[in-house]
Amino acid sequence: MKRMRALLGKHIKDFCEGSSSFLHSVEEVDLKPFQHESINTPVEEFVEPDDMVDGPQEVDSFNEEDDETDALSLSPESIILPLPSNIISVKHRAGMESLTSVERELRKGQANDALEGLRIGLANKSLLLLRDVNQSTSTKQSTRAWSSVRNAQSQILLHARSYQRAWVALNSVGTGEDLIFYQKLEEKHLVVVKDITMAKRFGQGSETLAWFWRVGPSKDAITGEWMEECECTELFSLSHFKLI
Amino acid sequence: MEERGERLKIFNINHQRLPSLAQITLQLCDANDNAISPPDIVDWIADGIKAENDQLVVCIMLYWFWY
Repeated sequence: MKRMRALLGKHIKDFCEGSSSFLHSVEEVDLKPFQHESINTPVEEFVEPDDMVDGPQEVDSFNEEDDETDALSLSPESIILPLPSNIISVKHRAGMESLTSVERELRKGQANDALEGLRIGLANKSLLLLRDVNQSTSTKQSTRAWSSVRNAQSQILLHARSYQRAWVALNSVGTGEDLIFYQKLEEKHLVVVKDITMAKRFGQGSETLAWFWRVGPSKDAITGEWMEECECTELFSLSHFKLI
Repeated sequence: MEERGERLKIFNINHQRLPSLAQITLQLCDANDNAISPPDIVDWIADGIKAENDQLVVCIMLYWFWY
């Protein structure tokens, strides 16, 4: 944990140093205030973590030992990075069009990755609950199964928060179209797939999955096929007409 | 999901993948008109997004340790 935080601190420091090439002297007041991601696992689906006795001690020891290091490494996870979407100062935003357009595209990629991870995580959790947890026959198997569920849960949360960050950024650098496609993710969406865990349940037909299960590439591919089919039909009918 | 492909349609699921951050990064770097998105800028912003993702990993791990 200590090493991870140190590496993150270094990564952020390098990034902030690199920002001077693209942005002119951004200060803390020019950036958005830090906000914790509010999204969490729904209460009814939350699986409590194992007892981890050594955890807090390790974090404490990190804080005590690293007093001499610079302020950046103390809590690198709560630093706001000087990305265009995080800049609120009007004077800085004026000359950032190219940066903003690049960030917009990249944030879409981040959102896509997060949604893919989210779908895989939720499907995985559902399968684990159905197969490993429900079918475990011993305490050992059950412990392992619940541990896998916890891992899946933290993966889901990670992707959900990553999506939330991408969505907040798109709110600031994206267009209206982006926000129609990338909708807001809510806690109620982070539920297991009941079609897996509770198949053949009463009222299954009237329930729908969350919006992110239906998003995909634009319909161009499908429309293309239809258009090809349409053109073929048209050609066929024309040739048929000529023959007549 | 790709394995199951079209059969997922009955659940109203779209199995086709959207372009990932890595793919978009490459696309922007390879774009013919580098004046709009110079590779340096693309790299720098992509690096910032990865750093933000790493922040989230640390936050979640800290939460599990403190719980």
